[in-house]
Amino acid sequence: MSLELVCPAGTPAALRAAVDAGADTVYCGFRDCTNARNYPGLNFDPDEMAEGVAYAHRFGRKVLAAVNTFPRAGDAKPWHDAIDNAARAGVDAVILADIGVLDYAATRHPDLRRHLSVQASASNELSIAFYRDRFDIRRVVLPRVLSIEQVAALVRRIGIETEVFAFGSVGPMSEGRCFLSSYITGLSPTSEGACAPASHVSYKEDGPETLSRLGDVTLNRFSHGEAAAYPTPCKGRYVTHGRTSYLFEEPVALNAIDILADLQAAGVTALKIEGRQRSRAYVTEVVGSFRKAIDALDRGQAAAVENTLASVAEGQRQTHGAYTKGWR
Amino acid sequence: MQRSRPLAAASLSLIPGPLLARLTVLLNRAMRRRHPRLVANFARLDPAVVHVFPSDLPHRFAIEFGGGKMDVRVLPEPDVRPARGDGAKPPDAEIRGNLMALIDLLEGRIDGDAMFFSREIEITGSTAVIVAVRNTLDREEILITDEIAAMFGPLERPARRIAQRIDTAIGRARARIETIHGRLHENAGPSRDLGAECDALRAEVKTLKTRLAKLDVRQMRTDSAATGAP
Repeated sequence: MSLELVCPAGTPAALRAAVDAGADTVYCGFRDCTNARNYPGLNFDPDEMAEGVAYAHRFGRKVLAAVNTFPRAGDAKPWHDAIDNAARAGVDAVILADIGVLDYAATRHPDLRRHLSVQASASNELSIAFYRDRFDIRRVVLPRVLSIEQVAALVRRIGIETEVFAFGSVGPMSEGRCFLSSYITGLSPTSEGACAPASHVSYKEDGPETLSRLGDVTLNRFSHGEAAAYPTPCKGRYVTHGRTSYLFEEPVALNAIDILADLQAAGVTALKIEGRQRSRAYVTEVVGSFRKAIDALDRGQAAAVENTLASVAEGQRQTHGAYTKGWR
Repeated sequence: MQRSRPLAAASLSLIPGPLLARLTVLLNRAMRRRHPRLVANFARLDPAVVHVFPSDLPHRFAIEFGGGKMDVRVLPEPDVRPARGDGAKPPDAEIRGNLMALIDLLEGRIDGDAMFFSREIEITGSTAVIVAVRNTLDREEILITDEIAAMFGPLERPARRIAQRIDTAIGRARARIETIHGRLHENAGPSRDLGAECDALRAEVKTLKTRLAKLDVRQMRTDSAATGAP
């Protein structure tokens, strides 16, 4: 069975670009704190979501709505509205993380398909089975901390569809629950929807170098011409024991395009491209490349597609991440 | 996707400031008519002013948006002090890059993050404002050639055809110039250090001579042993 290509869309134009480039499914979010890419100027209002669904369905493609942040205490209405608006727009499934939001969706819209977001950090069969049995989730998006062997083991045991990340930013913290960003900015990625929110990011020239800062903390220092990445705390360069290094994770993008056959053999249902905060040019390029790779795989020509995605990769470097090296 | 960079770049670099200011007013009107959603999306953002500095042009631009409005205008020359009370606001952010890169960004042809990662575009000031501008522009499919043609009103269609022809011609001419330039560079100016290369070659020859001499000695000893000669 062919791998399903699940692609990001931060704007209606990106949704159309993803469909045109060959996405089987497009995922997007509303223009508020209910999704994990809540950056200024990004995302969909309810009308745009309905128009996007209509466009995708016209070509036989699907749209998923990410409502994958965690409601604030005493303020669940934005999350309830997002679920209701997604159902009204006719989306094919909602991607959820919080058990309260899962319960609301299961109760109010029982026929609306539910996927478990990576934000739920469900990385073992006990956890996934809980969400499956309690909220009837049909698909789990696996965290980027599993090797291919571990993915295969889970697929055999959980009895529901699995979606794994194939390209984009590597989130080495506990998948969206980054306490460093909360600590530095005072804003929780899990409730506000943005790790390293742009309102707290700044760049400062310092002689021949540029400093990237989050709040009052300098996260990195680049010389001119050196490739840089968006300054998230996990990809900062820190001095420890007198040595400067990328302590947690290097600014590098996950790219599994040349191990798709292994992922397919592991029993994975769908491949997820990360990057709703990226442009439609990125969407077109990455989706187009993966479309070709999946089509080649289906024809039995796994090695037929050249990997040309370095230019849109974060830090312009690529990795297989935990798929081949495991997690440390 | 059609490219409109050559014409836009050539036009903007040739147009004098006052005329460009007038054209920008017309462009604003055309954008409101042709892209009401883009204008509305800018208008709903938090109020801000962004200055755009195409590094290869004599002109600078200001985008002012938020609080229900959106406006693009040409900034006065850097050495011209703004008239008192002209309402000029200090920018919340500035964006710098060559015009080609900025137009590609505007038209959604190049990924903004990728450009920033590779440092083709430099930003200063509020990152939130820049992110909002980039995301809002990316919501709309814009082709600069079409926007310029739209300023001609009822003559839009012929204007677009002419613009496309000029665009193609300028693009070809530029490609030819770049090819010639590249060849001239190849022929004229080796940037390598010939002196250093000669030194390296001399050292290599010396090493080889030494090795050859050693081999000769070894061969002679072997021959002597074989013939029993002392």
